[in-house]
Amino acid sequence: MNGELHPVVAVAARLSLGMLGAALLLVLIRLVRGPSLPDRVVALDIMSMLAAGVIALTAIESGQPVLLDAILVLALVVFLGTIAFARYFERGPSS
Amino acid sequence: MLLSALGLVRMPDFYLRAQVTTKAFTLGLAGLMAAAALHFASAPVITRSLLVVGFVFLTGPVAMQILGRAAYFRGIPRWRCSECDELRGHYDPQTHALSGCEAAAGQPAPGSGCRAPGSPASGRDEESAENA
Repeated sequence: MNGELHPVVAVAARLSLGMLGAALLLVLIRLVRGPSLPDRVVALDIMSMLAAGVIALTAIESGQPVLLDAILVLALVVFLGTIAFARYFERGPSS
Repeated sequence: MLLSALGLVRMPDFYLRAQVTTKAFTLGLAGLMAAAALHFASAPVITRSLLVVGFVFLTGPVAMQILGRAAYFRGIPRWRCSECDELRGHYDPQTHALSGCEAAAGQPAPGSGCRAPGSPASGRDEESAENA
């Protein structure tokens, strides 16, 4: 594995990180404002997927492909959490 | 991905938000994983990226659909301008099962604000903003 990133790739990775950071801020707005509970669940779901994107970009920049496994695990766990929350929310607090 | 986050903030309704974000977001994540796969260009990385993309494609919309269904039952209010509640009257309130064929499939239930397919659009401004 060559040590240095191609300059175009490095710039693109930085730009993408910046965009993901802006997206995280936007989603944070929704997380705080969201007038109902499922809004916040969607915001959390998207936030964790954005974190997965950050992991992917970090993997590109640092040249460690092992980080991509973390994305798979993150996607799995978040999906399970969303489903569990939705099932509970549908039935109401009296379970 | 930024577009999907922008949509999340701007969309005035929960249901709209959930729908918009999954679409744009899945595409954005697919693009990122493709970039990672191209950058590393080794077989294990490519298979892992494909796995992630396949998984998100399969599970993302499913999760959003279940969440939307749950929110519908709990009465999360819709946007005041959305008129047609096609599902009203078709769901059994206890078991949340969709009553399919015997509920005059294709004909909207009365009070749901939908016009029956084939009838001309009546300029109704009364909106079915009340929900279950």
